[in-house]
Amino acid sequence: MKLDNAAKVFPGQNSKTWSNSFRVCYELNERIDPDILQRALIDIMPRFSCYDVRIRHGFFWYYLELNDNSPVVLPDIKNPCHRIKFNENGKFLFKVYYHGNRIAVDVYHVLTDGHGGAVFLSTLVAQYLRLKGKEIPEGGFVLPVCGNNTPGELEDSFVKNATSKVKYKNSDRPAYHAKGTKMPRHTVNVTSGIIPFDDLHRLSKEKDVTVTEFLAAVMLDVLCKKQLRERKKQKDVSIQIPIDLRRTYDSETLRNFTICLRVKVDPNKGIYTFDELLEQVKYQLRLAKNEKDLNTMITSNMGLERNPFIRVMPLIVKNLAIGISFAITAEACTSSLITNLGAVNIPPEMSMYVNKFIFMPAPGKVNASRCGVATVNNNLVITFANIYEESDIEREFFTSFVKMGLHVKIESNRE
Amino acid sequence: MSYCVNCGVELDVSAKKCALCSTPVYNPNIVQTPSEEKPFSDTLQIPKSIKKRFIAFVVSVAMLVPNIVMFFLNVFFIKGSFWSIYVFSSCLLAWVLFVFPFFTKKLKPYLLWAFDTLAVSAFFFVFLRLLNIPGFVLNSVICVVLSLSVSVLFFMLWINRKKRHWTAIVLVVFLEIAIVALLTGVMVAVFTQYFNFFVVGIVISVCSIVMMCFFIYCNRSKHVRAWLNKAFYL
Repeated sequence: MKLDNAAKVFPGQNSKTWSNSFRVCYELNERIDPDILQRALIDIMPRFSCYDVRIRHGFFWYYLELNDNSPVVLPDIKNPCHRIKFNENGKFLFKVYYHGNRIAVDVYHVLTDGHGGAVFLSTLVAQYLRLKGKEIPEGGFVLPVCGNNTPGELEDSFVKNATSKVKYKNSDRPAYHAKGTKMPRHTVNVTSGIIPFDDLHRLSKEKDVTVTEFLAAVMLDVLCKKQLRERKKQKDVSIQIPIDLRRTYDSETLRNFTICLRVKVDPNKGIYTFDELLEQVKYQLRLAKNEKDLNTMITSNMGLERNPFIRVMPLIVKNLAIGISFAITAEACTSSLITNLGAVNIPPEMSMYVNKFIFMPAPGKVNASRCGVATVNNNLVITFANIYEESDIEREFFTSFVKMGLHVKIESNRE
Repeated sequence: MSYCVNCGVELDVSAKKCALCSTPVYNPNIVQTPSEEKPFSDTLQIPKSIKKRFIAFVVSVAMLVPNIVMFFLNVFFIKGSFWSIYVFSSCLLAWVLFVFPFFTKKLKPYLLWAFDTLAVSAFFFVFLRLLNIPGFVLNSVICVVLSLSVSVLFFMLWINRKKRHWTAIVLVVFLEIAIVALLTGVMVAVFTQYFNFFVVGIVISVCSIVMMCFFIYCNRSKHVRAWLNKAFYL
C-alpha cells in the first residue's frame, strides 16, 4: 500500500530521538486488565488492516506492507510519543499501552491522523468493554469489529480532492520560539488540564468564537507576553492549527486527511489585548477555512508528489531534502501548535464507563509547548507536551482560565 | 481534593507538588494513601545508546586488515619500492581524523587539534619524502598546514572564552583568512621563488578585508541591517 500524501514526509523527518507521532488515551472508571486488552486488540486488528502494516524502503518511496506479527500491549511509560523505530515493536507503527485505568495508543503519523487514532482506540476500548461483559453497540467512532476496511476508509483523500488549478503561495516568516532549559533526550513533560466543556463553551459563545479559536487566542496571549519578557526584537507569534478535512470533503478515510492552518500576529504592531487576539484568530481562521483555499493547499502538496523531477529522485535524496525543508519551514515558522480533536463521538452505553479522553501531539523539536485537546463526557482535556523543564507556558495558560472563573484540574508526569 | 494556593488549579490526589509552580501540597484533611495510583507511569523508556567506542574499534580493525595485506604483498610478492607506506599513511590520516574522536568519552577539541595537525603534517612529510619531490615543496606545504593550524587554534581559544555574536564570528573568520593567506603567500613565495604565490595571497587577503568592511558597515548601518533581516529572515 502506498503512503498517503501527508504521510510521505514523516519518515524523512524521523530521527534517533524524535518521531512525528501522537497519543490518544481513554481513562475508564475501572482498572485495566492487560490480558483482556490483549484479546481485544487481536480481535480488532483484522478490521483495521490499514494499521496492521509495517513500513518498507523502496528505491523511490516508502511503502506499507502487511505485517505478519501480532501487536502486543505494553505497560505505559513516563515519556509518551517515544520515537518510532521501524524494526522495533514487531515492526508495528503504533504501540498500545495500559496503566491503572488508562488505555493509550501512540500512533506514528504515517498511519493516520488524530481522527483515525481516536476511531482505532474507541473501537479497541469498546471491544475491551464487551469482553468484560458490557453491552456496547457500534456507532460514532466505534466501528463494527467484523468485516474489513471499506475502500472509502483506505482511500488517499488528498489524491481524490486535489482539483484546484491554483497553487497555494506560502509566505511564512520565521516565528518566535520560547526559550527554556531543554529536557534530556527522549524525555518530555506532559501536563493535562481538565476543564468543564460546558463552561468553556459558554465563555467562547459569549465572545462569539469557537472553542478552538478561544484556546488559540489564549495561547497567542501567553506566547506574546512571554516574548515581551524574553526578547527586545519581536518576532511573529504563530500558532499551527490542524484542520480535519473529512467534513469539508465528505470523506470517511481512516488515513491522514488533515491540513495545517496558521494564525499569527506581529507584536511589532503593538501590544494586543485578549479581545483583539480573539478577533485576529477568528477572522484569520474563518478566512482560510473555506473549501477553495483548502483545495489550493491540498493541490500544492500533491504537486510536490506529482512533480516528475521529485518522483525520479532516490529515496535517500528525498529524505535529505525533506529533512532540510523541515528544518527551514516547518517548526521554524510556528511558535506552537493546538490540535483540537473535538467531541469524541461514542455511544452513550460506552460513555458511562469513560472518564476522559486525552489527546497529545508529539513534542516539538523547537516548539516549547504543543497541545492537544479532546472532549468526552463534558470533560475537555488540554494536554501539553513540553520539551523544556520550565512549566511557565502551561502555568500562564491554565491560570488564565482560573482567572476567567473556570475550574481546572491538573495532572502531570512531572515528579 | 487539593488546590494549589498559588495557581488556583485542582491537583491530582497523588500529586506531591503543583505541576505548574512546584508549590508543595500540604493538606491535613487528606490521609495519604500510598496505593493511590498516579495518572502517569513512572517507567521512563530510554533506548540503549549505540556503543560508539565499540564501533570505532571495529572500524579500526577493518582499516588495519588491508594494511597488513598490503604489507605482506609488498614484502613477499610485489617487491620493489616500499609502496604500501602510501596505503598505511592514508589510512592513518583517515583514522586520526574520523575514527579517533569516537574513542574519547567527551570530545576534547585541543587534543583533537594537536593530533590532527600532527597527522596531516606527517602524512605530507611521508608522501612528499617518498615521492622524491624537491624539499621546497615540502617546506611550503608544512608551512601552509602549520599556519592554518595556528589560526584554527587562535579561533578556538577566542570562541571558547565567551559566547560570541555571529557578526563577530564572521569578522574574525575573514580576518584569519586574510592573515593566513598573506603569511602563506609570503612563505611559499620565499621557498619556491615564485612571486605569483605572494600575489595570490594578497588578492585573497584583500577580498577578505573587503568582506570584513562590508560586515562592519552592515553592523553599523540600521538600513542595511533591516534590509538583510528582511531579505534573509535573520
